Amino acid sequence: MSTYSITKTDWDKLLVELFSEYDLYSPKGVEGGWTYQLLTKDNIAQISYESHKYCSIDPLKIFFSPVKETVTDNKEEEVSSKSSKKRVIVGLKSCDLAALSILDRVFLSEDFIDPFYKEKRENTILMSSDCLDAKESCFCTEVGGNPFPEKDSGVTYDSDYKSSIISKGSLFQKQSFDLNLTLLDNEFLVEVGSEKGKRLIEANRTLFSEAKKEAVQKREEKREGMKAKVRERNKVFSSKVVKSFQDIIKAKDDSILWKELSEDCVECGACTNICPTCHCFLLIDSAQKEKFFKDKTWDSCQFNGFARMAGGADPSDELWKRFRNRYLCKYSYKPENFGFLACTGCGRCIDACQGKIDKREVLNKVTSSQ
Amino acid sequence: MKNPYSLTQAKIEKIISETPEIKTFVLKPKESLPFATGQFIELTVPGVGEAPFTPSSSPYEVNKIEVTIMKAGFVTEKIHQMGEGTVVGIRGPYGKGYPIEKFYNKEVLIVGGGVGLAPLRSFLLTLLHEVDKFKRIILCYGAKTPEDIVYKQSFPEWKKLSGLEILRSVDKADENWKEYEGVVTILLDEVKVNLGESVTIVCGPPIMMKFATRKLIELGHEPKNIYLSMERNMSCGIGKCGHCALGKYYVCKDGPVFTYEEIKDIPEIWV
Repeated sequence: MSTYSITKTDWDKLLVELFSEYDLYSPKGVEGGWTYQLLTKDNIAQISYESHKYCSIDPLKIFFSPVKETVTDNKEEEVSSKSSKKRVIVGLKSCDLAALSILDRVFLSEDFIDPFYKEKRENTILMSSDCLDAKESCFCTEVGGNPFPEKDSGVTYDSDYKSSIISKGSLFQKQSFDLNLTLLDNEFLVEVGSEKGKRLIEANRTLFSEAKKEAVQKREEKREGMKAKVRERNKVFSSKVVKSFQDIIKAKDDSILWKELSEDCVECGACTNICPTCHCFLLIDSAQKEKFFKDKTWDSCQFNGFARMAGGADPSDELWKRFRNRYLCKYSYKPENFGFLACTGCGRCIDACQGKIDKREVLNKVTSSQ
Repeated sequence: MKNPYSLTQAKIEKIISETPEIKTFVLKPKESLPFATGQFIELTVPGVGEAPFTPSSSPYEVNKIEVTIMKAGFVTEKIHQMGEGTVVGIRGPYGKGYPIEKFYNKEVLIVGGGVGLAPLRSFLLTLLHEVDKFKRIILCYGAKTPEDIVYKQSFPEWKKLSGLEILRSVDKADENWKEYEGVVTILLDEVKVNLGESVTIVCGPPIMMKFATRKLIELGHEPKNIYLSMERNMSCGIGKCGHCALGKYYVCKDGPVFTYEEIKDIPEIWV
């Protein structure tokens, strides 16, 4: 699809225009990074595209699979299609989009579609942007991604996925933005990624001009520069991260190794809560007067009792087994089931870990133990 | 769009006490819930909680669903306190059932332990519905004591049926017990099946499944012909909540029936 140019002033105009129909969210600076905030009409012009350099603290999943939502009150068979206002999310990054493709595979799988997720997904316009910097924990390039979104960059599923990750070097997820923004001096290069995005441009066509070749060229240079930066930052891990999942499978029965690796884990669940691809949840029944509810809340495979059955049997009864599960799930089970890794290299779990466990180091140790 | 979490009301029509810890509940759903044998349902005690059960009744019986429930945890405790006429919520069916057609013209060996006979009863009734399609049907069942045997009233009828062989054992016999004494795996030594022409269906407590599978392998059964009904903490039933992970599988969606071949390399399967 096409690429356009738009000035910063005109872009703000467009967002103000959208305000009547949509709730607008954008990352806003807080201590230690950015979190998504609901915008008011007045602070649209204040969205700082320069300062929001890499992914936000909060994962994009908060918009589609909220911390808690009521999924049934036993009364309504049909899910109302007008229960949530349409939303525009500005400023999400490449890794956020990659994570959505995992969630899509989970919640929109043909056999059972989650109507709550689907409705939110359909009612949301995603306006991503290129990364302008990388934090210490960023490692998207090591799992096959890039610090900028690419339309359908994902490697398609190879039945022999184990060799495909080695030969093609990537099992990265598909990315589906509606529009992607690259900041160049005082204008944006806008890439169209979907029909939704295309319609938005067409409706406001006068604000946009065709992108110049030089501008696109400049974008590519910037992108290559960022990519090199993330690569450089992860040099110490010697590109082993992406290849290590085969070794994770091999090391699955090595309890001594996993016990050692999980020594600093305090079972707080921060890594899974902050992970943009972790989707596990707990269904909780409750009653209020005459009404009964079933609520869906985030849960974590790192918690003791997560897999416990009636009668007390628990396949994940020890910490190292739960710790191992997060690695097996992301680097082995999901690739086998979906054809891509369930890790986007966003580094959030590294930043959030109370025990200062660096996932890249874990992956490295698993690799070198073989 | 259909909400996968919404419930169908089901009235408890009848409660049959099987053992001190096990009851069978006959449910009459408001809308019929057709299922294939081996599939499971989620049963909600309104406002309290939800738990998975595989129906023990025949799938050919469309107006009612029977579930045989052992008191084992929070939700099952509450269910055991319920009386006839109480309304519960059910949803499903979920998962894959037994691939019955694959068993045609074969010797079908059924190995059950304790309350694990519940899904196997549904399976057995399904086989009996078209009994001529199978070469042999053998049921090996083990319980702790004669008192712990479920479906006590069904066994006399089943024993009369031609085309069905039954062997039973109890871990600890009493003075009236005239059948085998010992764990259920001892029955496998008594049964001579044609290995190339048979399948074995196993359901019971994890420890029993482990030793039954080990015994079957020793006897020369192939892993692909051993069907195990796996238990995990199935919660959402639709492969999303993650609680019932078994290696790369979700038991709720990819199971609960697996061949041993499919899962033999997964860690901690017998828990």
